[in-house]
Amino acid sequence: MADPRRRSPLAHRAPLTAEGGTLTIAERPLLGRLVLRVDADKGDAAVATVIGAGLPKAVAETALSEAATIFWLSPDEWMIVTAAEAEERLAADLGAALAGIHHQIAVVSDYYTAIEIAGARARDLLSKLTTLDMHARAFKPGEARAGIFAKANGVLFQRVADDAGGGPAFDLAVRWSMADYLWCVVAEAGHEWGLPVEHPVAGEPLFH
Amino acid sequence: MTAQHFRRPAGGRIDRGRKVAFSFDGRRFEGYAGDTLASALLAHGEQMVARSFKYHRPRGIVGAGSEDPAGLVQIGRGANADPNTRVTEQEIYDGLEAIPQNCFPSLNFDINVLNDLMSPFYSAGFYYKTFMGPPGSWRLFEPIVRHSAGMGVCPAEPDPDRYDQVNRHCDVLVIGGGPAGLMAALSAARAGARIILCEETAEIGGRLLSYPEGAPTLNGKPASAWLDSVRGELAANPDVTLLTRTTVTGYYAMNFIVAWEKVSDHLAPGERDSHLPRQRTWRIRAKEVVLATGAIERPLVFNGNDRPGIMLASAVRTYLHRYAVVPGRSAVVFTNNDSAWAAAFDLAEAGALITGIVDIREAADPGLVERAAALDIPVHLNAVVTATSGRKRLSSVEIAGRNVDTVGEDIGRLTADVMAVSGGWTPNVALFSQSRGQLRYDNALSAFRPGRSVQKERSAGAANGTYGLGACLGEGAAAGAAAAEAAGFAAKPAAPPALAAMEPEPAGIEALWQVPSKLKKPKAFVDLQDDVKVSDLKLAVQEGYRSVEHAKRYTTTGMGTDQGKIANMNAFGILAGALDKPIPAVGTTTFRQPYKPMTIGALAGAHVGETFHPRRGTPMHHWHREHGAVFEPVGDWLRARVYKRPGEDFDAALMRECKSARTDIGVLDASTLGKIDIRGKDARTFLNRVYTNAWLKLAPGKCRYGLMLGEDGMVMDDGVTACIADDHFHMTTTTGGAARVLTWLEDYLQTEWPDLDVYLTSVTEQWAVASICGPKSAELVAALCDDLDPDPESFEFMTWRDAHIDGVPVRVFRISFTGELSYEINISASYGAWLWEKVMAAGAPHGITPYGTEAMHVLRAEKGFIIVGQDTDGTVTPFDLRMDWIVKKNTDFIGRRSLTRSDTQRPDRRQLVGLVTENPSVVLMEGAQIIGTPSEPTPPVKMLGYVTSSYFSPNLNRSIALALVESGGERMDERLYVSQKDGAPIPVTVTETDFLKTAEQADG
Repeated sequence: MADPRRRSPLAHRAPLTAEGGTLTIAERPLLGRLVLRVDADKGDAAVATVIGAGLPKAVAETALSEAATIFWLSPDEWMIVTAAEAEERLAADLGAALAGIHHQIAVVSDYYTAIEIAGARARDLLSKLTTLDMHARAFKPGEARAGIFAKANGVLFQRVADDAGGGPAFDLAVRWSMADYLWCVVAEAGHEWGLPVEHPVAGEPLFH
Repeated sequence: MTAQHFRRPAGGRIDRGRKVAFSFDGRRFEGYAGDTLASALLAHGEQMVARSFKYHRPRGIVGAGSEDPAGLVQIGRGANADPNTRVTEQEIYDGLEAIPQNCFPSLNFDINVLNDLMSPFYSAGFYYKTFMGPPGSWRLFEPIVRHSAGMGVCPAEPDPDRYDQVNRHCDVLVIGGGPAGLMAALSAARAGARIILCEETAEIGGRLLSYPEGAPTLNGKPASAWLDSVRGELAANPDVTLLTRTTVTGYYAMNFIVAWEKVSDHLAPGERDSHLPRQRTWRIRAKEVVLATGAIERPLVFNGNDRPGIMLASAVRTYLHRYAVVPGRSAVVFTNNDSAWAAAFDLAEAGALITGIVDIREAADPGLVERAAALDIPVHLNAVVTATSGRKRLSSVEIAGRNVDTVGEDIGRLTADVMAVSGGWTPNVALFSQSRGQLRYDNALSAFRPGRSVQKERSAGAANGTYGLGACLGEGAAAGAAAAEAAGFAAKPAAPPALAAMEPEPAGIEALWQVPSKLKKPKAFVDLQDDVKVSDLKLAVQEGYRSVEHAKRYTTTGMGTDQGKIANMNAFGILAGALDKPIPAVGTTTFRQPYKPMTIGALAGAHVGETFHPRRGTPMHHWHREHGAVFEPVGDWLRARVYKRPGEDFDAALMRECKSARTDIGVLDASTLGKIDIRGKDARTFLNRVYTNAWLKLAPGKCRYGLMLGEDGMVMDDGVTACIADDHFHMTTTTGGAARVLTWLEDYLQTEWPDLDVYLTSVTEQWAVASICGPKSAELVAALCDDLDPDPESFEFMTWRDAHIDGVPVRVFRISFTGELSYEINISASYGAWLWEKVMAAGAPHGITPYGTEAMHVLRAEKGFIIVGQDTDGTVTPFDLRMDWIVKKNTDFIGRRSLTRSDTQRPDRRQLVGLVTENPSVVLMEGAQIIGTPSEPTPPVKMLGYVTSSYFSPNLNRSIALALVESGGERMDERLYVSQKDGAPIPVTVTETDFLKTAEQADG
């Protein structure tokens, strides 16, 4: 249970379900997140001792364990997702395991939030926002890719497989300040299948 | 409402059970579901639908699809008005209102028809000639031209419709849903490839929809049965996306293709699904492409060839069979090849009287001649049309014998209210050419066809110059299989259906680019949309526009919304004749995207209105909104600019905020500053190279201000960096520079200094920042923190401490952007809103005042602190800022070499100074130029520099300004002048930039 004094970027948004039930979107708030930078070969074993899974080595690959999920971001950069408020402990454990190896661990739990996009139409919705190939042959369960979604940077992870009961579920990690924009753009993209229109918080009128 | 007198009693792809009422030119009509506006109007005998662009001549329906040159109308009114819509493409729906454009007061009586009488004055290059003519002539003509020319009117209201964009990848993209495209799609789909098939019209079938039912048969059945089976097979395959009403408008590099789907335009507004967009842009990335875009028939160019009723022979057949409309009661066919003869036979079959087949050739296929004789159709071989009659629609045709390039003896006048014309076929190579494929001229076809490919595409069927139906089917199947193979699938061509009962096909063409005429200046139109005649093209050549690209622009042939789809090949042929060169030597004009005009809405998609662009907000954004903040955009961020209390205006709020920060406590949301976590044993070395000052000895717990330069020695960014541990630093950047600085530093690490053990990660939004400032701020920080003694004596300026607020970890920096006692509290962003409330509550007894970016600007200017990007403009060195103290002498850093250039060492460079006006209430204008004389001399005026920042300071009770002034550092106490638009230059005195210090010294 997260500290009630914390507020997530999309705390003002309620989950949405499309009229036909083919889509739902919801925030997955306050997950623990770290960015790890290290030489892949040098850091692999140490990471595995802490997380129970080694570092994924190629684009789209992820590593999953009970402790965390690791997304490959670049050849020497990973995002590690763990339970809410488990990140400080994980960061400390990783730091200890990587002692003596040049590395960086940055806690970014509050930098990002995730928008869950789930349902039979999730792939179709996402293909309106990203140039990534969203076909089931190209984006498979357990894969994660970074990219631009509408006009926001994001990391997309397929958490639930297509053949699960409600269709696939994707987590789209987005930076705090872009989350409200992206939420509204996601809702707009899903309007075709019955998601309601959402208006950005923004701040107009500007100036005087 | 008149009856559909020209509708055939049966047949066609229309739904006779669903009548559709619509209006055109204020008159009411009725058609059937499945009709286009053109077919429904033809069913009523309406041929004239528009006026031409330049001469306002009557324009009829020429084609049956997107090739039609001039049948343009406006659909609907007000915000929903859709101008320049082709009558041959718009499907009718109940209540559709089509409004003629480019005519006044009405289609039938158009005042600007006078332009036609004036046509000798509006010859080729009319615009050019007015540009080049006597001074002022374009100014004289422009309003007249603008009034009478034009292509519809754009609605002034915001677009009420919704648009959409979709990205799609596929193995094989098939463009064109005719026989070749369908066979390609079947072959590739059966191999398991992911297919997208784009068909421009409402249904697949292509030319098969324009043939009589049962002629030909496919696998012994009518074409419609075969199409049903193909449609069924493709629809049942989940890896096939079949898009109808979808035009591929652009073929770009790396097989990136843009298609434009008209999702709702064919439905009555009340029947449109409000969840669906009006139109959708498909952004397709295809491994392989099959171009099955067919061929476009071209007309013959003869005197009087632009009257309504003169149509392409293929269009006549399309109206007869796809729409069950007979376009006229008596008809003439005029051709240079075999295919148009079928139009004569079909018209006769439908009950029209064929008054003659006029063929320019000496001989035609004997089978065709026999069939014409059997139908009692008079045939005139080696003959030409020399003139036509009929004001708003064709009534008769004069024909004569042909004597190679001249007219022979008159044959007579034939009655006709419709003429089916064919000048041969041109492969539709627009997309192939956009893909940068090379065209080659084919003498047998008298047309350009695809030559060498550049991208991963192949043309099939008529698009490839293969006109026979059987050959098209086979070539399509082979192309589809080859494309699937190339995309990594084992594929074989689908077996084409067996054909029987074939109709005449395009064959035996004899090119004749310009039909001989008895007249010296025949009215023979090449481009029916742009009113370009043969004589215009010849004049262009005569006046020296010998390149095809120049002649196009001089005459406007091939321009406009149709891009000369039926006109271009004839224009190339005529130019070749005028230049006395072979056609390949003349070449073609460039095919550019889009293939046909798209709406701006479809290009914008959902990136409009409030979702046009991200508006970034901080964790405290909601609080700011609820407390009277007005915002300003800083990069993509919205930052609170000032917090207005009820009844307060902007300036009053600003003055209050500025004062409070120096008398009590102010608090600023500084969360947007860029933050970079820096790790590694070489972190100090790295910082020492990227900042102009020294970093090797900064102890943990301390902070330092740094300037970053570009390689050119100019100030690029600034900020405070804190040493967390010997191998760990926390860098801050400007709000706007955050992303750029990180990318730039990462670039240096990866490419220039891979030997350094340093990692960088952006942590900008991990932290929410409340920047507390003012004499009472220590008391507030003491009250807030569980475990921090904020006493400025012990917690020194430019240091930082870890602390807790109600148990929540915070990092407090003793840094200041105002010169006042300050504490910047950093907290994990999810606690940001909580922290802010907490600060406001704890600060209330001390009179805490939140202040926005405008007060921040004033407060920092009072202290003389710069803002990179406001007081610098990319041409300013640290020395120009008179910050020599920040530039180390002995070790290297980025930009150092550039600081030794003669130009960066010039003594007369502009330097940053303060300016105070002699009248303290006068606030200078930012950007105003500085001069050395009390009045402006005669130009050119020597400019000494300009004002970079200017405010009224409530704390100093006077105006202050910062400025870049030539040799500014040498000019202390000098009197200069700031020019203004209306009034005498304002006298100012040059000062140091720290106005607070200057004021203190004056007091002291």
